[in-house]
Amino acid sequence: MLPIPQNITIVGLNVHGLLTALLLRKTYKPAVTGITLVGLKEEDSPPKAYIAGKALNTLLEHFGYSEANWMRQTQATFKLSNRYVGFSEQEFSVANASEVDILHQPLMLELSKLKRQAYQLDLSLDDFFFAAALAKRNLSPKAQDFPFETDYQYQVDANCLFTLLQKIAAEHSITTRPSTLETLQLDQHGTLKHIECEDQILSGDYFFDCTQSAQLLIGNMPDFRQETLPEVRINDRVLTYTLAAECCASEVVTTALDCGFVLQYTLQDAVHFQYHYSSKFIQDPQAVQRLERHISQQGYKKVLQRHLSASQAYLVSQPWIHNCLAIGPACGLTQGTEDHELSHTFAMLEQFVSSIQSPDDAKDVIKNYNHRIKSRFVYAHSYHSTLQLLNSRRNSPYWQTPQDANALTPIGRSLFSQWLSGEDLSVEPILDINGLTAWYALFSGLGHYPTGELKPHPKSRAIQDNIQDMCRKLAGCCLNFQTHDNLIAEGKHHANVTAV
Amino acid sequence: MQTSLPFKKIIIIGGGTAGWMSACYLAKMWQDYDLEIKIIESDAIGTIGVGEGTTPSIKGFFEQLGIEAKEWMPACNATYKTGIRFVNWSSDPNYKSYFHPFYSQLDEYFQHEFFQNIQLKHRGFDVHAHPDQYLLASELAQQRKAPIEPEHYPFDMAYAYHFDATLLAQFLKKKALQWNVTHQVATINEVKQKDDGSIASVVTESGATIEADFFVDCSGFRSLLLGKSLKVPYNSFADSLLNDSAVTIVTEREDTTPSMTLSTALSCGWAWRIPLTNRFGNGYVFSSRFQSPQDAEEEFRRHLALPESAQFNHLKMRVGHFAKGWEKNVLAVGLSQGFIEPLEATALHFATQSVVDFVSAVDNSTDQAGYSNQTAYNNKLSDRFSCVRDYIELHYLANSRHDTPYWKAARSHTPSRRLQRILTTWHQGKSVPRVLDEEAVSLQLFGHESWLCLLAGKGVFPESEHTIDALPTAMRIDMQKIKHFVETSAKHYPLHDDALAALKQS
Repeated sequence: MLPIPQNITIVGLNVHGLLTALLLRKTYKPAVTGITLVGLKEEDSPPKAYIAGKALNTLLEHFGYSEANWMRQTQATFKLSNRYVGFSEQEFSVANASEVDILHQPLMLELSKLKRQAYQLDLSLDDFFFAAALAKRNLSPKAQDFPFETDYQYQVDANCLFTLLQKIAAEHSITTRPSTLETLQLDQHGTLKHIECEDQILSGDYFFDCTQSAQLLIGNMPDFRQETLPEVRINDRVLTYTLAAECCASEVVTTALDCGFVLQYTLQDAVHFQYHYSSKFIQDPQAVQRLERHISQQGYKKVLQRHLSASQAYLVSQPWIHNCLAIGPACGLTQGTEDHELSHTFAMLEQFVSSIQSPDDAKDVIKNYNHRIKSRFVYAHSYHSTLQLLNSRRNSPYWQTPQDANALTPIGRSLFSQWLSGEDLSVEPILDINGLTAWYALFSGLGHYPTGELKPHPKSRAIQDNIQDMCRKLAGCCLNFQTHDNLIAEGKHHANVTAV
Repeated sequence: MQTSLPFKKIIIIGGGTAGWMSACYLAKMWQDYDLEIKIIESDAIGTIGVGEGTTPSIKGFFEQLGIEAKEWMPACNATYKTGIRFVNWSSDPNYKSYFHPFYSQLDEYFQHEFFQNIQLKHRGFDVHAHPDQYLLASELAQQRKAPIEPEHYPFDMAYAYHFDATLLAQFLKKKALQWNVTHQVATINEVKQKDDGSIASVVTESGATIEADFFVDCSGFRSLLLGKSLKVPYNSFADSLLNDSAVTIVTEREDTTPSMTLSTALSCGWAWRIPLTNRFGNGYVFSSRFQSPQDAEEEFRRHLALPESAQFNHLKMRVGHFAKGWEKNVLAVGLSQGFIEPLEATALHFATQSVVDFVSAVDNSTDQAGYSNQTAYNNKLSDRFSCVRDYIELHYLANSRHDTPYWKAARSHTPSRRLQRILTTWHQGKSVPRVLDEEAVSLQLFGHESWLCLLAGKGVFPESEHTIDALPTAMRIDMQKIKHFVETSAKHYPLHDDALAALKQS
């Protein structure tokens, strides 16, 4: 059994460090556990948008910030779906789960199976996902008297979130030391004894490394090893543009370009474009031109900020070594078209807290923790690598580069094989990353159906009627939901009134 | 498949609901054929014409006829029906009443939870297994709402109607006449048969002989052609279903209109209460072996709190069915074919399904005469009668009243092998739906949910031995969540009276 933390030291003054501090503070009261956060805020922080799950709302509500309030302060909007453009002939959505979908999921499963059996069916799985229906109409996930729950996330401005978290940390007994880490001291067992920061010695029974890719703590632990994730079409550069925007979408749009893909996040009054590309195939100046052309095609003009950074996928082999835990990108980074950075951080800390409560032997608990956390990264990476490998773009050297079929992870390979053989997909999903239906959406959206001679289905008319009826139902349900723009505007209004 | 119709002329005997329904359906479905349809109706023989309850299949029947609700419902003082509430069928105070709903798409949402709690209840856990709280229709009925899908809450709803059967017959008569059905008022005095026993013609009291190549017998309990002329054997259900009489009366409507039928158990049978837009239709179905008509009338009068001067009608019923519904060139539709007492309002379901299945059988016949599917048709009809009989019978077998000899007798007979198997499975806490599927019962009118609602609603469970706290948390159903779901869903539906008024206006 592991000891309850009495003295926690967190290194890394950034969103992950602050979230770590607050999530631990939520569980461990100041009278029992001291929490110290060490680090210097990066000057001139680059623009960045995060996707956050409901765990962020739960945390901030715990500290007295209503959803409308913190969303206003972090320029946040809702996210219901990720729409993929340009990865195959037709765009497709990977939508968040909704309880409405349960009612027509059997139809979706049956029809996707028939289509895989070479029946000629006019089928788009987008039609089956209620969250996608909401997002396409730019609706919010909020409705009155609608008893089905629809999962949603938030698109959050990273810098605003940092400011808010810092304020909350100051109000809730988090000791902040604005200094840089100089050395760390291990005992003979390899356990971290203390760290030294500008003449201060900070001890702790648990140390949390939130220093992102610098990995200042975990990288110096004796058993540290880093694994490379099996990479596909490696994107090593991220170019970010922030532009002024008047309306906000409740979806993320991911567009495949010649040498990578662009993620488009919408915040209140602003839109972020993140171009992930490979410097092997496009030089930075051309990438800037290409992204600007894409932005212009989307109708945006007023550039607020831009930033270029390097990026690489990795995963530490042991996220928890002795009394040191790597949190956030210090643990790993996947190059996904879907951003799981914050959800990984929340999952790690929830897993840590439940590990502390476990009656099992400490070694087993840590082993189990490491297995679970690494599984999350591998699962997320599986989804992304499957998208990258199985898309049908062939219009540029980047997309034409032969891919190693083995680059599909075991999860991706197993699911794709099930898909091709017409079976129901079966995998233990990590739901806050992507549920099973997301895999259906992916394979279907990328067009992996038999080609050549297709069989007419004897009941094709009735099937199309069923699909139409389902679309009518989803459209009807959408009438209950507030528009995204209105809800965000109302949130602002509400927050202003509260402030007055 | 038939490219031409094997019949040139069809005579329908009887102008009640079944007769005009048959006329309309045959005329509509075979409108492209050179076919004469004539209905012969006697002005000397009245129709029963009580307020009529139905099952959801009738919705599809009207849809096939192309008749919209806004057209026929106001004309027939019709109301919507979400299901039936059964009151006083159990002596257990926790099961004084339950609702048998028409099961809708939204009910699937918590079906698993309902089934799970039934299993747990059988294992002695004191969990909530009464059906009412799981079902949307029950909530709609409670709030007197209509089961009409709103545009913004467009989930499939199963529902039926209550209507004045006499007015419906009049409405359908007009339709049928528009669709070239001819009508003759005459009393049949004689039926002439050919050498092979098939019907050649009928002779009216005025001596006119009317020939046809096919006859539809809608002559009610008289069963003029199928029973009297063709002498098809009759399978009586009197051994298992005791009721053979009814006393009826209409009463004034209430301020608001219920959207359900009420079925209240009395001392020697049960009483229906069917809401129409202008009145209530009421009836007490009882067994004359256990109660005289006078005593039944008196009990019913007290039940309805009516004055001594109230005038009641008395009816006799014959429960059972003819071994074949289609014999030679005669199809029987309605009471002339059979009747399983009115408890679940199945009479018009049998009538409409009989004529729908007949048209399908002829259309898909492989012989020119149109008879190749006759045996299959009759087998299917017999199956339907026996499955529905089992379900109706279960109401009586599962009752727990001890107050009169009638109720003790109602559960004292031996059920059919199939019903015995279903009951045994239930008492063993095993899967009733699986048995229903194996016995092909669920293909008929009453699905899994109906059977489970009946048994759970009447409280046919062993005594609880464990509190809910003895269950692992993961197995405890969050009834508040279900309650919230059902109540929130119900908010989307219109008040029954508003929906009826909107129909009238449209």
